[in-house]
Amino acid sequence: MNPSADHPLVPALLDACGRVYDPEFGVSVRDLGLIYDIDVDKTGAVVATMTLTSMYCPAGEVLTEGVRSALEAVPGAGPVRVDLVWEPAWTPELLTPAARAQLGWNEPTTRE
Amino acid sequence: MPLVGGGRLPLAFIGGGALAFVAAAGWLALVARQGPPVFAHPAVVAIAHLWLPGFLLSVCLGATYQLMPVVLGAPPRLREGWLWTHAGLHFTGVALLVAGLAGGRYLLAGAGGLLATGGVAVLVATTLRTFLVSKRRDAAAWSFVFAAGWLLATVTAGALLAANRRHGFLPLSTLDLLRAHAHLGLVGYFATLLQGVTFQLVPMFTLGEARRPRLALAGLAATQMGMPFLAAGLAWGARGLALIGASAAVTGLGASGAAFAATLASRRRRRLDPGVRAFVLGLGLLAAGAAGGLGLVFFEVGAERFFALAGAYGLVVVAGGLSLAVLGMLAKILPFLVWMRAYGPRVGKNPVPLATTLSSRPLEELWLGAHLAGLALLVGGLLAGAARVSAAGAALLALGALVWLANAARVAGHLRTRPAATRATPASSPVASISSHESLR
Repeated sequence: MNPSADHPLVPALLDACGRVYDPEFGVSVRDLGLIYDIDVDKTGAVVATMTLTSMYCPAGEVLTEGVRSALEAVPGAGPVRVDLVWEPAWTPELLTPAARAQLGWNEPTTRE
Repeated sequence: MPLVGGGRLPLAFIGGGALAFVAAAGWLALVARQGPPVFAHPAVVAIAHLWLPGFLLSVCLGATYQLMPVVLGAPPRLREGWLWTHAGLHFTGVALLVAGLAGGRYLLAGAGGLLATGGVAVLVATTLRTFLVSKRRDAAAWSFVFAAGWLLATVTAGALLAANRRHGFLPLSTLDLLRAHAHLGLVGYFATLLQGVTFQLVPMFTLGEARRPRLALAGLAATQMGMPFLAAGLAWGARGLALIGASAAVTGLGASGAAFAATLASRRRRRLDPGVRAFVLGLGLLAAGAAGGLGLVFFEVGAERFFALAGAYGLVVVAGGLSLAVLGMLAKILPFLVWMRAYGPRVGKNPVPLATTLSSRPLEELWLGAHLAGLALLVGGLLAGAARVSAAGAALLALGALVWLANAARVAGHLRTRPAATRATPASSPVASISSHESLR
């Protein structure tokens, strides 16, 4: 799933997500593929749909709160809501090439 | 899942455990200078208790109080005050226990053991209540329950051992009871906990997946089935019973090891940092120790050789396997906890460092090298009867502990970071929400 790019604010909002890093891997939530969708309505209200690499991620609340804060700081953004979803589940296929390179993982993606 | 006690409770347990580690390693170096550590000497028994319940258990308790709510998806089902009571009972109890054992004041040691047992009761109650509201039933979830149960059995056996030594109401040898007490703790508590939390922590820190979960659960179950036979066989000196128990426990550990290997192979972060490397080395040494322990039960040797081998077995398992596994994971958990407390609230508002940058990589490498070299010399010297080699090994181990503490202090120093003024944020709409908390339950 890719964030919708049909609103002029979306690129700036995605950039903001690129500045929220996973504290362990040093990869942004955007490059980890955690941001599923960003919707902006005509009033500027933002709804970000994101997931975590695991339901049991101990930094989950910090990351979702961090995304909310980062999005709120984007000029022109209205009220922000962050929805955390588990479907579809995150898979390594969602990592961007940059994230894979940073992790030293460039093998073809296979899941058992 | 919010940090338990704002992260203060896990950090208090971990901080106390870290100090006990350095004190125990330093004490061991002093004792080793006076000759090879003699099995069951009061100082050696005291060091063992400073190392095991003082260092390893304290750290595991801190990690448990942080990790259990994450794994079970529910906050601890006991008031935070009770958890702090556990911390108080635990550290007071261990201090009295160690002081009593070192000075041969067994009443003091008994009082300490009683206080520590009270703390374990709090852990058992918290674990059971939290487990019952959780739906998760994999190896990670079950390991908390089994480990807490075996920990209660360990402290109870310790109390029985102390009481029997004074009053002699059970026709059991003190040495046999000591072996049962030790294995209840080593295999029942520590190994059981590792058989579960490994499958939570390793994927978390390597961006991998918990692979072969059924094998992991089967491994945990086999160890649990073996434990009663092992403990009873050791306590009553029934070799056949101990063999059955040890074989089942080692088979279980092997199955968990195979599931761990598959899990580690699934990692997306390919390069292992010193913390994860120490953890993997620790598990390898535990496997070697388990095989050695099985050999000690299977093959009969002369008394002198037995004590040298038993000493080496204890060092490989405790100072090697368990300590490296616990310190390795601590090298990951401590920076993460400190980061969550110091920088978590700033994420998305201000630039923050990564958790992995809080510690010093050169210090971590130096500690790991010193610990491994020290252990090799200590064990080699003990087996060869070379007291000077053992003393050099113990000194190197203590040096490694100091390096480890310096790095931990560097990490903890970030707690002094003052929170930056929070930027004014636009007013949220009535529907604005963060749904993560509910979703995690």
